This record gives sequence, structure tokens and C-alpha cells, in this order.
Amino acid sequence: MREITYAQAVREALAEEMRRDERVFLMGEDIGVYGGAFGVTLGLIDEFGPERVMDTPLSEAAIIGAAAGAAVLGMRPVAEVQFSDFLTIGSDQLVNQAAKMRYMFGGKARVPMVVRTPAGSGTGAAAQHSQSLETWFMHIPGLKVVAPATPYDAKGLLKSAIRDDNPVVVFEHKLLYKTKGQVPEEDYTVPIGKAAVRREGIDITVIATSIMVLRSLAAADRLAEEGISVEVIDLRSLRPLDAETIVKSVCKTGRAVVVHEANKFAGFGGEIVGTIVESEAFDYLDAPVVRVAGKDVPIPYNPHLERAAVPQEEDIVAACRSLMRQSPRWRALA
Amino acid sequence: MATEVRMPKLGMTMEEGTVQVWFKREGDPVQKGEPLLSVLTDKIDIEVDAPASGILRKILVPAGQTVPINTPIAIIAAAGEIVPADNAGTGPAETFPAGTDPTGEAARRAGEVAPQGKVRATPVARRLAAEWGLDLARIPGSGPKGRVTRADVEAFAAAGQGGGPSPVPGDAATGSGRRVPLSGMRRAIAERMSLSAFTAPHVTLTTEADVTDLVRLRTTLNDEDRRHGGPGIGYLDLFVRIVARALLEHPQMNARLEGDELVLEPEAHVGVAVALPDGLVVPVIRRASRLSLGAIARERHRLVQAARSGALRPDDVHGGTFTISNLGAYEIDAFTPIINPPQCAILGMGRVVEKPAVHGGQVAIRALMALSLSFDHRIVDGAPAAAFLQRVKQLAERPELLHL
Repeated sequence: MREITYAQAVREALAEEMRRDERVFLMGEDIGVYGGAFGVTLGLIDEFGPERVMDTPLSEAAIIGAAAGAAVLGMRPVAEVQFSDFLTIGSDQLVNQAAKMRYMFGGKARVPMVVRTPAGSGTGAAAQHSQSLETWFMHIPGLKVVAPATPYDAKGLLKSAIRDDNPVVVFEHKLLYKTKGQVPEEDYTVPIGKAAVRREGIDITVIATSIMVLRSLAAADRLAEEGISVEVIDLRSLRPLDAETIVKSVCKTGRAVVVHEANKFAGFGGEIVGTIVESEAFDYLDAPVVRVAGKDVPIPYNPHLERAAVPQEEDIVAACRSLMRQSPRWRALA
Repeated sequence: MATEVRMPKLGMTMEEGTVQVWFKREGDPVQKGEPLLSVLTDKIDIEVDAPASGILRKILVPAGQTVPINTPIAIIAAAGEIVPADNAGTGPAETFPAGTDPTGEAARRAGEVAPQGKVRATPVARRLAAEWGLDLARIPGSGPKGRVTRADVEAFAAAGQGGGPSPVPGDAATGSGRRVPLSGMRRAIAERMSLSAFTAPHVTLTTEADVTDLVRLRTTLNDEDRRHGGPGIGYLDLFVRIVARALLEHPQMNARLEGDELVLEPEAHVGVAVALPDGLVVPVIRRASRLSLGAIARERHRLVQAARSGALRPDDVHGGTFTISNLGAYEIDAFTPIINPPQCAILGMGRVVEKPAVHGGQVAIRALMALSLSFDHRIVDGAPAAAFLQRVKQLAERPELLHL
């Protein structure tokens, strides 16, 4: 199968859905001629014109609000928010309008809109352009939240999001845009709400999303050399959450590590841990469930501090090792 | 806050440890991480570090005494801090005036460091202990702060410690021989060999291999390895290689019994029995099928040196999936080795000896060697075990097949 980048996969999903359904259109800041801040929509204006690839003023409230309105009136808008940090500006429209309408109109209104947005740190973009805010939106009934880790899922999940009759927030990681992976040319979708077991193992279940899946897999490779067998679950969707896959895996391994880039306090790791300990997996736990998450600080600009503020491969390795190590410390291993 | 030092669990099978030496005396200041005492386990001696900084306020277990793992052995606390053991030996009535709670508090202060009734255990350990009718409080915990884990419950159950009579004491009145207390290692060997002999139904198969080609190969490789500064290649190294290969082809021989399940190990971790003046240890050559002969020889050399100098680490002796015992140096032919539990089988290597033998229709002088395989008939039956030994014999007779 051919390999394309994550950014190309997103672009293909947008183009194919726009060809398939004329109600689909794009809105965002500089997404037309400029192709978007990360080049994701590059060239789409040439095929679909400025009415369907619409450059907007710098107002996230206007972008998301207009998308919600268009969706209620039968269109299927895909809004790009240039940095996920700016979702805070549009969140009244997203949280108080888009997420509520279907409920408040007794099911008579549908809001088939998508908000795509680049998230995460690692680009030296500092505290206001590097956050991971997925937990904010996971908390809102009426919103769906996905965070693909691979080009295949980026395309398949975005297609599912566009075809979904509810507002879906798609978190794309800035560092993933240039990663490559196999993506079919034919039409396919990845279901929202279904996790993927990326690697099977028997000692520890590592649960991650987005770029943390890649780091977890790299960590699992290293741990395998030490005889520690790690199962890696890529959640793909954060809401709805695939609790079944998580619980089944933890019942098998008896140990769980949740990895996310967002800072630990009140991050989604807590929700995953809660899901595990409330389930039948509780009786299979053989160690405390551990979260490996970002430090509780705004993302620093200094590249060394930026790296230190979010989980790296070695942090995941260390957490897994300490879970497996028997307690008494002896000098030979110190 | 006072920190209690407990007898650490330094290996999966360790059940008790002997305090050999305290490096500090009561009242000495200690730094977290510095060596505090040395412990003799069933297999090796290990230095244990202080888990906290402070004053070594109380040594609860003197040198020479053997206690179960997880037993409090010392208390580290700040100077002047009241520690639980301060009142040990004095009566609770003296310590606590009437009206206080003498039962709970006094009992705890009178040397009982672990709070009673509360056992630190993981959920799965609790569930298994309940299912198997085991008293969690009696199971030594290997996790942080003595937490009982799944492996601890399984080890406890496997060791048959759920109940049963205590051992019958010997008749001390008879006999005039010198009495020598068993060393920790001797006792470990006694326990493990009894456990194996009386639980695993042993069958021993023997065969004779024509190892003339192997002898030639060994001579060549040995010379070459030594010329390059290596430790030299021995027959044991060749058999580690051969056995590792055969184990991967016969996975049931690389299995162990755990409850109602067979655990088939994907890698061959081959233990080699090393004789010591006062006993025997079985360090393990890990993933032996992936190692070159030179690498096997170097690792074997390191392990033997470490065994003789008492420097084996817990990781060096755990996790073996098969054992080789080599008595060839003592001019032994065949013997009936006892399986190293919980493994499935053990190979006994006899001496290599030149004998007249029929080879290619002629009587010729050939190098012959007896191979003895004891296996656990619960895990595997005679025919597959024989097929395994046949494969070992074939590889020993035609070592060029190892290249395939």
C-alpha cells in the first residue's frame, strides 16, 4: 500500500468528502490560498473554490458559531481552528450552542459539524500555542472527541466525523503532520468510539492517544529487550470511550499506565483510571494504576524545558520498569 | 517519621533470609542508600541499603538470625523520635496509665511494628487469596512497603504453605556425630530438591552420543577463542547451545506447571549447575538460543566467576527454563539428575570417553558420551521427551546442524 503523510491523509479525507457530498465545506483562518497554518488544506481552494474553502476573519467564535448555524440548517461544515489553544475563544459556541442544540430541541435539531485543530507541543510555539485541551471537550455531553495517531486513522476518523450528525472535535498533533503511514486509496472509515490494540503484551497495558501512542510503542520496544511485555492501546476516540478494550486488556495484564501529553491534574488519565478501577478489571489489578502525563505548568518556550514538560519515551520506559520491579532495592540493581 | 526496615524479598522464591552482618550499630546515623546490612538468601549474599536516612534506632533481628521475608528487622528514625520498639520488653501496664487504650496501642508499641488486621495487598492478590482460602496476613509481600502481589500469592500457594503439619523434629537424643547447622544455601537446596523429588514424577532417559565430531569442533573453537583472549569454549557451552536450540523446537520441554496451566516459555533460559564448596548454584544463561558460542562461553565464565566469589545477582539465578548438570569432569557416565523446579526437565552430561565403537561398518575408536534427561511426567510424556533427547543427541553428534 502507498504511504502518505498524516497531513496528506487529512487533506484526502476533506477532498473526498467534499466530492462525495456537496454540503461539506471548509472554514478557517488562511485555509484557502495559504493552505492553512500547517499546510493541511493546501490546494483545496483550486478544486473547490473560495465558497467551499472559505477564509474567515480571525475570530474563532465566528468560525465555530457560523459552523454550528450552518450545520443546523443542513450543511456539513468542517471548521479549522488554527491552534487548539484558540478553541477557548470559540468554546461558547461549541459548548453552549453546538453541543446543546440536539438535546434542547428534543432531537429535532442535528448539528453535523466538525472542528479540526492542531494540538500539542514540540514545535517551540510556547505556552499559548502548545496546549493539549482535549479534556475540556471530553467533559461536555453532546460533543465527540477524537485524536488520531496514524495517517490511516487521521483519514478514516475524519471521514467518520464528517458523516456523523453530532459535533465532533478532531485533535490533530502538530508533530504528527509529517509522519508517514499506509493509507488506502479507496474509501474507508474508522469508527468513532473504537480503540485499537497496537501491540499485544502480557505484563502492562499502556493506554495512549495521538503522538503518545508512537512514544509508547517505542518504549515497548525497549522494554521488550528487558523482558517486559507491554500491550499498547491507542484509544483513537476519547469520547465515546472504548472502555471494553481497556478493561479487557487490564484484566489480562493486571497493570496499567495511562499516557497523555496534557498535564496530569484533571487530565483525561484520571477518567481512564476511574474507568479501570470501577470495572471488573479492579479484581485483576496487581499494581497501582499509573499516569504518565505532562507537568503541571504552561508549556515552556525553552526547547529543553518544553521537552521536559511532556512525557517522552524514557518517561514511559521508567514508569513501566518501576511497575515491574519488585520492591526491595538491592545494590546490584541500583 | 520512623521507617521500619524489613527483611527484603530478593528473589521470586525467597521465603526467608538470614541477617549476616549489620554494618551499623544501634545509635549510628545512616544515610538512605548506604549499605545497612548483608542478608544471606537461599541462593546468595546481598547487601541491603538503608531505605531512609536517620538514626538506626533499633535492631530487631540480630546477626545470625533467620526470619521470614517482610519481618521488621530494624527501625530508622530521627534522634529523639519515639519509635514503636522503644517500649519493647517493658510491660504495657507500666507504659500506659489506666484509661488509655492498652489493647491496641500497647500491643503495637510492644514491638509489633506492622499494624494488625491491615494487610497491604493488590486487588488480584486479595481475590486469589480468597479464592484459594489463603490467609493474606501470612503471605510475605514483595511489593513496595511489603505489598502482597499476585506472584507472592502464587508462590505461597505453590510452596504448599496453605496449612499442613509442622515438620517433625529429629531425635536429638541419639547419635554422637558432630552437629552442623544447615547453611542457608544447604537448606535451600534441601527444600527445593525435596519439593522437586516429591512433587514432580521423575522419569530419567539415558542415551549415548558419538561426539567425535563435537570433540574436534570444541578443540578448534577452544583454541581460536583463547587465541582471541576469550575464556575458551567448553563442552558445557556447546550443550547450552544445543539444548537451547532443541528447546525452541520442543516447546513443551521449556514449560512449567502453574496451577491448572502450562506456561510455555518463548525463550530458552538455560541454567548451568555450578558446584561450590558448600553447595550448588544454578546461574542462568538467558536467551541462549540467540547467543553465539563465544557469547555463551563469556557469559558462562562470568556467571561461574560470580558464583565462586559470591557476587551473583538475583537476576543471574532467576528465570531459568531448563538446567544442565555436567558431571563429566568426575568421570561419571550416566546419572539421574533431579529437576530444578518449576522447570520441566534437566540434562545430565556424562564424561566424554574414547571407546571402541562401530562406525561406518568398522570398529573404530570413537568419543562417546552418555546423556541423561530427567523430565516431569506431569508436564510431558515419555515419547516427546525421548524425541527431545534424540534431537539433543543428533545435534551433539552432528554439530554442523546447528548452522541450519
